[in-house]
Amino acid sequence: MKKLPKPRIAIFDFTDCEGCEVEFINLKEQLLELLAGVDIVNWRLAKEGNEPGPFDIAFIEGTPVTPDEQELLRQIRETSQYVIALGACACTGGIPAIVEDKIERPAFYKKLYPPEYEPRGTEAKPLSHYVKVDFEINGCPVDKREIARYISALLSGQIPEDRDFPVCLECKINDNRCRLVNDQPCLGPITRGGCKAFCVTQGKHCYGCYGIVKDGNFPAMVKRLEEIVGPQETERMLNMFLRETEQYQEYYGEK
Amino acid sequence: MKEIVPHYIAKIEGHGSLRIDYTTDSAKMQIHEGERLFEGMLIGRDFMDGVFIPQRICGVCPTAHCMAALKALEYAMGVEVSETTRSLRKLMLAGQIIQSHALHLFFLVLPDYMHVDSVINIATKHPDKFGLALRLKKIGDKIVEVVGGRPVHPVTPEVGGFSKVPSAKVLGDLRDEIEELLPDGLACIELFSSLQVPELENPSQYLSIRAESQYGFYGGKIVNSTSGDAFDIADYNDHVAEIVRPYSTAKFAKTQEKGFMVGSLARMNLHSDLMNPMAKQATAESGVKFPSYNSFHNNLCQAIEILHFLEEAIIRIDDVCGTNAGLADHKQDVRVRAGVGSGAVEAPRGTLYYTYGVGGDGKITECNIITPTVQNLANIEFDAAELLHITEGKEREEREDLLEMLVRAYDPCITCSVH
Repeated sequence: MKKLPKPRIAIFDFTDCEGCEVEFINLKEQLLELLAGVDIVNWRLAKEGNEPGPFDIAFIEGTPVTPDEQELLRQIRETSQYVIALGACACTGGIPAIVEDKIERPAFYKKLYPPEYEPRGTEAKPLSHYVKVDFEINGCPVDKREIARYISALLSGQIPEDRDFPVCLECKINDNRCRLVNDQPCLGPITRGGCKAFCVTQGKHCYGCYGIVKDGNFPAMVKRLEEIVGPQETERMLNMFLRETEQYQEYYGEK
Repeated sequence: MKEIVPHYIAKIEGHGSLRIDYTTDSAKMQIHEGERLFEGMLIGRDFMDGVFIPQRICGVCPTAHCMAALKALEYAMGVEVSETTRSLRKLMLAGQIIQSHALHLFFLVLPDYMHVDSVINIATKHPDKFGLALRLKKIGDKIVEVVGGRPVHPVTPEVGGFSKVPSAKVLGDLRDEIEELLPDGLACIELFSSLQVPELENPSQYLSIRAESQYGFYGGKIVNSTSGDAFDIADYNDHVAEIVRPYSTAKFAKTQEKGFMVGSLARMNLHSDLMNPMAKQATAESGVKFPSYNSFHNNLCQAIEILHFLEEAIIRIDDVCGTNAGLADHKQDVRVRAGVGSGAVEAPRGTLYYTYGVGGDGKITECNIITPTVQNLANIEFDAAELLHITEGKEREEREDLLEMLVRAYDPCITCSVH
């Protein structure tokens, strides 16, 4: 990969909470250092005078739920050298993809809005469903240190290293008691690490927000969870962040 | 290339635009973001998801959503939390309001008044102001992080209390840090009271939580400035009605067919007399009299509230460290019980209402959420019309800029509004 001369960077958000952009801002002084060698030419949340492409790097947060957003995503892809999916919504469909598109989505529109209302949203899929995504920064929200790692690597001409170990590894490093061994549910074994086992260390289970780790054994995870919480709760735990993953779709099928 | 950059208003959370009609002096607040369907997706899920998931409605005020959701669930299930838990939650919510206000004031509002495009220009041209911004944002983030685990989407708060709490030593150190920043709180008020805000005089109704003898934010009743009436949070549906507009994916809220305002200005218009001592004195010295009917003053109110909530955070740390049970008493046993409950807190942008129904199996049966921005949308249009009226004869571009500044003054959170 070539080192980028003063790259043009854009940050876009689709339908979501904008928490990952807030993590961008939470880099504070470090953000200024990281961005000293770049031009942020488009960032609606933080600036005016936003320019159209081409972009060297486009960070995209959120899920393209409306046809307008899906079209904008395609346009961004056409004019960007690298597209980086920022956060769970962009990487896996995230929280918006809890809503199943065929039956639930239309039913919810009917329930939550009056009959004359015309819904804008059509479906909740990850960015990679529509376009090629070059890199994914996982998490709900992303960890600001991961944003820094990706920007530094790309600006110095390196390809950022992927996280190919499960959350369990970081749990061991933190000396956490294993939840599954103690018959408490957890998605650690199939979830990509990099979060430093944050939720488990704070006394909760792993929710799977970093997506499925390479070679993660989904059926084995289902089997163990079903022993602890039963089939219905297992499916609920897995569809929070993973509904749109290949492994989930393969196991539970298109409903 | 066509429209790669649609004209959404910059420097607000989410995708909104104004459709201005210069012939009738009116403007419509159009919301473009996709519907997020949280009130649908939560049904049938375990009650614990009712805390984790709706925080994701907003990356700027997740802690406020977390607190309102907890209150509704605990009310529904008849769970009483300890004094320690209540104090720690108030501490977190104070941190939440500081982090959100600091982000909004310095990163989204100040560039307008400094005539630059973004906070990055402020960093290079006004490093002193940028330093102030960072210190205030950091302390807000740190308060939430110390109690909740991280500044965005905290994980420790749960029905009945906390999964993990900080040590008394960590809280003591945090208290020292907050105390050192009180002068920065004053400097922030000085900065925002020195800005020349556009003129506007447009009285509305103002609604906010009122707690007995305290500047309400965590619980109490809802007061309406016009009627002076106070109503119970559980009865909010009788007072705050949601309606749908064809040009917006967010609903609008009204009370008796009239718009109203929530947020910092509403809170200060209703009970600035109940603020903490330093904030109260700074208010008296700010040169602005409350109640104020200029919505641009919402930003000054946010600055004053930063100081108020810094003081509040110190009080809450003292509460926690001063109780007999102390930090150990942070977790209540929770037994699943069927019921329906409502809760509300003052989020940074105004009153945030949650209702949950829970079944005997612990599954969520009912969910209703009304966010502050939904309540403010009608009032933004009401103010926009008045602003257009008093600027007749001025250039269109200037009027458009003023309208965008007005929208920004409200600190709308569109991502919240399309929940």
